[in-house]
Amino acid sequence: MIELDEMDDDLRKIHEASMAVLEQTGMRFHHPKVLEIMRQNRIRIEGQTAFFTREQVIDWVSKAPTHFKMHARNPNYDFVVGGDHVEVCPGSGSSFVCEVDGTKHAALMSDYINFLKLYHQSSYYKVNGGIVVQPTDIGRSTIALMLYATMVFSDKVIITGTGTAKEVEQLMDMLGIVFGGKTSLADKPRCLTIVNTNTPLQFDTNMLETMMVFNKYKQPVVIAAASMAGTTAPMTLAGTIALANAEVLAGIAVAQMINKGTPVIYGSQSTTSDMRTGSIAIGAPEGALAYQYAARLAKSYGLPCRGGGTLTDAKTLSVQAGYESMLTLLASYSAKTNLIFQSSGIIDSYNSMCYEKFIADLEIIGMVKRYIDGVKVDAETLAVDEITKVGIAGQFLTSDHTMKHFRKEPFLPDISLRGAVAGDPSAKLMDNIKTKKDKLLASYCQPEMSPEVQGKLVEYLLECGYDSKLIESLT
Amino acid sequence: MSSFADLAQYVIEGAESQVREQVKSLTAQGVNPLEIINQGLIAGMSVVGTRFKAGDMFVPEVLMSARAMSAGIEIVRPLIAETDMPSFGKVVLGTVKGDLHDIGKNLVGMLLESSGFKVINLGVDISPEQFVQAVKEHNPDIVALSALLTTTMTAMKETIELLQEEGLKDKLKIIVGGAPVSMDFADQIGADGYAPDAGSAADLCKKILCL
Repeated sequence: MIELDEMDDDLRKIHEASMAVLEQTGMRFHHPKVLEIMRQNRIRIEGQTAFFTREQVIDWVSKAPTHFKMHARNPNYDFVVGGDHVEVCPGSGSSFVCEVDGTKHAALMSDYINFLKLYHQSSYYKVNGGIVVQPTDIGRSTIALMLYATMVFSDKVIITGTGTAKEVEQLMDMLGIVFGGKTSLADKPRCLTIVNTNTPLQFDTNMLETMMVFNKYKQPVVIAAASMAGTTAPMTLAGTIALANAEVLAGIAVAQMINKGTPVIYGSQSTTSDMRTGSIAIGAPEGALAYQYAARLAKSYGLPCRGGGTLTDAKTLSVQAGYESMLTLLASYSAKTNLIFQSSGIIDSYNSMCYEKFIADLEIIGMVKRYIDGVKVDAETLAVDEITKVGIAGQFLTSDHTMKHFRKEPFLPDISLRGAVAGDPSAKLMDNIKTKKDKLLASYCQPEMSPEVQGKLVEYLLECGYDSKLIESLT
Repeated sequence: MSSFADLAQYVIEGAESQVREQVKSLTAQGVNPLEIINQGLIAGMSVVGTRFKAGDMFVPEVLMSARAMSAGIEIVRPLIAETDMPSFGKVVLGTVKGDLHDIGKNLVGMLLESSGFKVINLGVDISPEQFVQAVKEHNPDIVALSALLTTTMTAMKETIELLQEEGLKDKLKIIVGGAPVSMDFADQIGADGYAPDAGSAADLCKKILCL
């Protein structure tokens, strides 16, 4: 439900600014079919530009569900998207893999599989797949092979890539094979994808094609803007947030015109540009603020939201990577952002994924989760009886109360160093990171998939013309 | 009395109207237009370049300076034969097919212009055929390809392949840039150079043209 009256003064002003942008400047959609659908719904179209009245925006956006449930192949990983529920989601879109020291190599399919395994292994994640890295060694049309690998290596909720209508229909065919037929896909959300606007105020053809196919099968789409203050959006953050808000609401309205009630997620990765270089600055405090405002806006529109991550512009696994990642995750988590993509491994302004940062980010996620859990205050936790029992100048190390709580109350670090450390502490920390990574990979167990279903998937991919050796290498 | 130093200072400040006045005043005094460009406008812009690299000047300031310098050049251009115009070379610039990202490429274009290159900016979503057409028409020294998406960077390769097929590749240099692009990728697709950011694109162009 849209609660415009509940908005505070600042949110209200941002909303009004967004409405003015959509009324006066409009948004360009690079797709004749989408333009036609909008025209049929009495949206004013000039050329490729659509102008929305505020009533139209509100009316269409209010048709989107406030929350919905994602269904995984393994129901243990089902979860609700919406409300105050937060799920961390994988990194997305990097075409490089970065070493601790910043050395980069083009991401390969083997990296893609490694990250699938790592996300499968981490108990923080109920979601897997998508573009955990963009493999550069499997040809041009990659999303069907990536989806196949995702389903082979994980039974968590599925994320997919984006592409042309034909490519995305292939994804739906494959999901149909696994989940009881393509036509019944619309009954349950099975996979998520992210479509991005081209700030300022454009939507490209591929993104719209992906969105239309997802809408058709009622699979959830994150509609996200990644506006950059000072380059693709106004220098001032309020204007950047308002512009991103306008784009995302327009996208959501169009999704509802394509298929009323189709699940959508309000997304924003907007942040500032670095004005010394013109580059994006994803670990900036302005980003943290923009991710928070996006969540607040989405919630006031009654929409599930996506934003933030453990984001950094650092080029190496460094102190900068740590402080930026912590800030951005804490900001997005405390705003109760429902889906936090890019929540582990991302480094160098989205350009790279780093295995070691993936592990460090799991530690950040653990710390943030603990912080958000807050302090539980009741008779048991206040422990007045215990304080009385121990008395003045006593100690709590050996009390029963301590025994009962010491593994539950504090966050237990996996890699961080505490207490005295023998030898080189930096080397020890890195060693902890590498050991944890190796352990996660070594203990990975492939989830079961019926050989019959897998056989059908392989057959389908062969029919689509994918290379049999390549398919075989993905098991 | 107008001076080159004042003119250079106005360029550094990005003061477009003062640059115009100063250039007009110098030409009225009969000063050689090439000297106005070299000792006033380019001298100012070279300070801007140094300060930009040092992180003391920010992108918007550099662009204001570039705009001011261009305004000055437009005034003296009619006074100089085209062949005498100082230029490091001609660059055809565009974002490849399927990609609508405009701003980074434009930034590169403006910084190249301010460094003394003539830039033909084709815009966004430029197909390999359109690049070939532009090369035939403008006969550039460099073709600069931009892409921001991992899904569109493959169009860079297709563009280079078509330039090769048309027998145009050996007559020019190709440079590539954009967030997902790397030196390795540039090598892989047969580009002659890669710059990680707009600031270093001009240096790259000078380097590959052996200037």
